[in-house]
Amino acid sequence: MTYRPNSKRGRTTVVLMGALIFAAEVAAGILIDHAPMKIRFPLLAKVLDSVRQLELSKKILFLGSSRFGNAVSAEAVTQVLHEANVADGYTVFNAQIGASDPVVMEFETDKLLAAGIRPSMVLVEILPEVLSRRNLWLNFHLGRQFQWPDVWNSLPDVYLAGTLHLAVATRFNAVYTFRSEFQHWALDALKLRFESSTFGGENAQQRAKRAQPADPEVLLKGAKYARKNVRGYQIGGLNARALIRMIERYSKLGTTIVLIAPPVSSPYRAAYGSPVDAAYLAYMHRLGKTYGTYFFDYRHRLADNHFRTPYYTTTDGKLHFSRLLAQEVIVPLIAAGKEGIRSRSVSPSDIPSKPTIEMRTPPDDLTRRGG
Amino acid sequence: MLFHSFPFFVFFPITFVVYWSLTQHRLRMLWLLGASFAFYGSWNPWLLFVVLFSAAFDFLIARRIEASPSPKTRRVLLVVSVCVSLGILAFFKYTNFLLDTAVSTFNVFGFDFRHPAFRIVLPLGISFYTFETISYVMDVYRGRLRAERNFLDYALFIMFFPHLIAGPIVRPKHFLRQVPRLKRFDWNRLEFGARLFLLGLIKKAVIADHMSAIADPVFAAPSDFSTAAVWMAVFCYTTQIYCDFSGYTDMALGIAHAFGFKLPQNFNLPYAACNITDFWRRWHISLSTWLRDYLYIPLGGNRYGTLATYRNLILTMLLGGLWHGAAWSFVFWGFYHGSLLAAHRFFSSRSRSGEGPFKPIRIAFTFLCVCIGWVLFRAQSMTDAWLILHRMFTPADGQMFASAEITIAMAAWSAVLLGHLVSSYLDMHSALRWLPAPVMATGMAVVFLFVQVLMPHSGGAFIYFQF
Repeated sequence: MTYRPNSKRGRTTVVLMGALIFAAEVAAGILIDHAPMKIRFPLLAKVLDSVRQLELSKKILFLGSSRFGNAVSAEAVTQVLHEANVADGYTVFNAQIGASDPVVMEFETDKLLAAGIRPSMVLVEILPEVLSRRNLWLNFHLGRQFQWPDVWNSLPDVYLAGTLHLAVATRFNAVYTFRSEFQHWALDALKLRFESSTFGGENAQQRAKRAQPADPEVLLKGAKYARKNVRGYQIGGLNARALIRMIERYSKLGTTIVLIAPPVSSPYRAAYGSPVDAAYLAYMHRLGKTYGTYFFDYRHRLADNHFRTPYYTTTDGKLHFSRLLAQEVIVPLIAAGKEGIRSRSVSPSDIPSKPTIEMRTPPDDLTRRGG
Repeated sequence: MLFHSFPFFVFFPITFVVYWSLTQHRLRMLWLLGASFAFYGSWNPWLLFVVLFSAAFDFLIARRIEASPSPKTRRVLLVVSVCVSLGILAFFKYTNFLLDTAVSTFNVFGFDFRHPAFRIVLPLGISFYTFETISYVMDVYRGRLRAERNFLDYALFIMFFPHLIAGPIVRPKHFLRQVPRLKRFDWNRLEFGARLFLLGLIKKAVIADHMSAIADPVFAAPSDFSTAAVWMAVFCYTTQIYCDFSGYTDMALGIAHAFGFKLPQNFNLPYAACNITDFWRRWHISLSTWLRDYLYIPLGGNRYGTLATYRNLILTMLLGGLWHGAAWSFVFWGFYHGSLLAAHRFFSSRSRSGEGPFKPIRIAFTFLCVCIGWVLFRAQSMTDAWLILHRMFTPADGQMFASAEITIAMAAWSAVLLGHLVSSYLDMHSALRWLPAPVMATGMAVVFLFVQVLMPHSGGAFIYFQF
């Protein structure tokens, strides 16, 4: 039998193939929205598992990004609480998640509360750039937690952040974008376990690198990054809204909310510039006045030799900051809570160098019991 | 912009739709040339000037050669053209290598010379388009081809984006006659192109990139790994380089078909070769035939006796090795293959060859020789190459791969072996033409989706982009 080229066959094949691929991509975008947490957002799943395993005690949680991951040692904080004799009944846990901002923290809060976890105190990492209208972490959100409605509702922010192509990819090229997730999901479903070679892992050299301060040129390069992050700075958008919603949720539960600006190197800090700093501090002040949150600015509290990158602390810097934070914020707050002080609000202008807790009376409707 | 990356999946449909929407042939060619500029410029727009200069210079020289009645002038023009083309290639690719070698040589004799390392950006695909321009001028000089009158057509021959970066090395006669031919949209051809592209995508994204993740750690620190791990890495690299390069070629061929062009075949089941000469008839065919036609034969080929033939073989392959990269390991790799070709020629004249019961053994032996060659090709230095070869043949302790890597490697090897076996006995493309359209479409869609799922996160550029 001789083969006769048939244009209709070619057309049907190509068009049908295109249609099937398109349909499968859209379906995959819907499917991934229903993936288990450990598949789509394993970092959060790991944090939730760890928090669930904590003893039934009053919990002090750190919510933040890898900056908190690098700067906060739960062990060091706990040790200070013991030294101050206020540790009784408290468990400190660093619930940081890499590439986190208030949008992720709100999502994390939802999951924590849904799991029945009610922290006594949350310390939330807030730097000026995370409040920017131009969301810097949207590329992560699109991959890790945003579902179809989230993408649709945040389209203006997605456009402003320059991540429209990624949003399109997560919804219309989902098979490729979420290939790792689908691989893990399939292996999980099939109960297949393969041990992977780990020729990497953190070795002594890398550990030493973590402890080593950065060269001044490296820190100077960080200034460029900070400037880029606050270009056209305007507080608002997804993050600002998420932060307020999160504060409101914790407030209703009576959780003490402490907003912390973690330490950054001096070139990084200087790169924010006065207008950005002024807007940021004013906003923190307003939050304190409105919702009774505490705010502590630790950006300037570590010397540059405590940084291994423009914003990641060295091992020494981590211990130093954790102890400072525990001594100057957590212990006094716990002590104040024990003494029954009911209200708090700190003006950033009142804490220029060393944060002290100044109690002011917030509006009556926002008054609630402290941690 | 890689063929298997998101930007290309945006670039291609736009180029394709506009190309076929244009009704005038000249406009289509112009659009294709513009798209090729955009494709190449997406890496480094400044390097477009290098390609354009090289193309324009040889275009003009070829016209002068054709117009010149004096053989002497023609020869001088040819020499000038080849020198300029090779000079550009040497400057961009070999400056640091030549300086290093010169300085090392002087230092051996007690001088204390040093030279600053020049930061020269290597224009992508320079080795490929240099060979294309040289072959064009030589063909015109030999009277095998008329000098092209239209610069845009000639520029498209050099710049046509599917083959620009990593070949196949297109012969001017083959491509230039396709340019003025009116193109008609053909669904069957598009389907065939899509199938080729899909095959290339599987090879590159599913097999080669996974193999790279296994081979790379071993080639980076060979002394850390056991003999078994080193063998596994060598086999993985052998699989990787085939799937990477032939995958690129398949994709290039498929894309070219979508625009109504046909590029030459570059691979023909190379690991099924039963001797090293056969291997070079199946591996990177466009390069091996180029070397044969423009280097080996001009050197004298096999016309001046046995010893001269061996010399020509070794010299051709040695230069072929150097063409791949500016490092001694490539020179040794070329020398190794040249020596194997000479040895094969020596023994084949004394023994019976061809089909027979020993064919599988011959294939396995050829494969082993090729694998050893890849060690020289891939190792970061000659010291590393020696260390790897030493560990391959002397039992040594060290790290071994875990079950995930072993499973992936076995699956990839099986796929390549199966592909070679099936394709040896069956013309897959002809067989697939008989499948009903819905079955074919569903099959292709499912394969495409699976390919996406199986793509690793760290998928890299094609190996031959560096050449």
